[in-house]
Amino acid sequence: MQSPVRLGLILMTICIVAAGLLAFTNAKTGPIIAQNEQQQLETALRELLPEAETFEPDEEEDKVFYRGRRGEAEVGIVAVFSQTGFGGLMKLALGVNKDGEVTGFQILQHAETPGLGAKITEEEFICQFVGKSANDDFILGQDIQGISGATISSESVTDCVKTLAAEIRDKYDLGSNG
Amino acid sequence: MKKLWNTFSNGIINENPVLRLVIGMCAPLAVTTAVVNGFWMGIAVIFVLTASNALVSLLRKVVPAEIRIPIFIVVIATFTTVADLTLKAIQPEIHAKLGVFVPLIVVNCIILARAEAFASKNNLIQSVADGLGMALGFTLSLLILASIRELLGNGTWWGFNVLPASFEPAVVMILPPGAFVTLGYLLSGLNLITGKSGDN
Repeated sequence: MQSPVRLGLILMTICIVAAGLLAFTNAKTGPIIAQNEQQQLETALRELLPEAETFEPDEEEDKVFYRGRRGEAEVGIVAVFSQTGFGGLMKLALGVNKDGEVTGFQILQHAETPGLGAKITEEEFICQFVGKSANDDFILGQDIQGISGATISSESVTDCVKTLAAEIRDKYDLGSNG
Repeated sequence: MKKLWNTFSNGIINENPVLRLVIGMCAPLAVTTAVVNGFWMGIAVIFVLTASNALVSLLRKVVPAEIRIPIFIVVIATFTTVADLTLKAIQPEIHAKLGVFVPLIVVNCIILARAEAFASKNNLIQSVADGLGMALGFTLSLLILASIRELLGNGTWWGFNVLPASFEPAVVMILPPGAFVTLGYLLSGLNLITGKSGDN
């Protein structure tokens, strides 16, 4: 048995080297990861509210609202929001223009079952939401055709869009006369 | 040279970690819903296993026996984190799909088993050959599993439609039960070929 101090020192040396290597990797990859995420967000914002030129974030506890502007005029809102689906947290983004009409919808991140719930990211499902008004009911089976075999995922997404659209409408007073 | 080749091929055929030793089965069962996921998981394991085998082998004379396991874990955890961050930077979409299974390489018993059973007792070149062979065996098994599951469960291979439109995918194949069913048939098929029966 060697002295505990010696053993501790050896282990410490190895940990210091390991920490150094991790710091190096983090310094190299950190900016790329942040840039990727920023890029993904910007692309999503642009697709969800094509009218807007600039976006100004308006953060709340668990969601972020981006106020889209064209010149001085406010043209709509994109909300980024997390919601629990069937397989865990999903990150969704919803664009609503100043008339309270859904201009775009995207699922940025999800952990739904591949082949079933994961179909919520497919165009066929997503595009059903576009063009709806924040005043609509979003009833699954009537307004929105759910995905067979993925009832919970479909319901979760539909409920989330409905609540969020209404929240955006009330918060920013969009399409209040429509 | 012969010995080196034997060490290398051992992990691919005789002691294939997934199809022969059946250890470290968490990732092989969970990520093989698509071939592309299996491929990137394999790349991550190739990096971690080869690098940790190399470093453990280099350190084998300075590491005291009493604290070898914590040291192996630190080495493995470091390389796993490097692999995780790198994958996140170069392939963000794949990283999101693999989710927790890349960080979980830390606790994958193949890695620690090779460090303890092989790299801590053999020289650098042998250890690298062993790590590469084991990791390639792991990757090949993942690719086989994922190919069967993606073809039958989704009608695609590497995301391309390869089966006629009339083929109705059996979704169960890309759900967890499909992983066990596929693995079972693979293992029994392999035993049939190599003439090993269950009663020995």
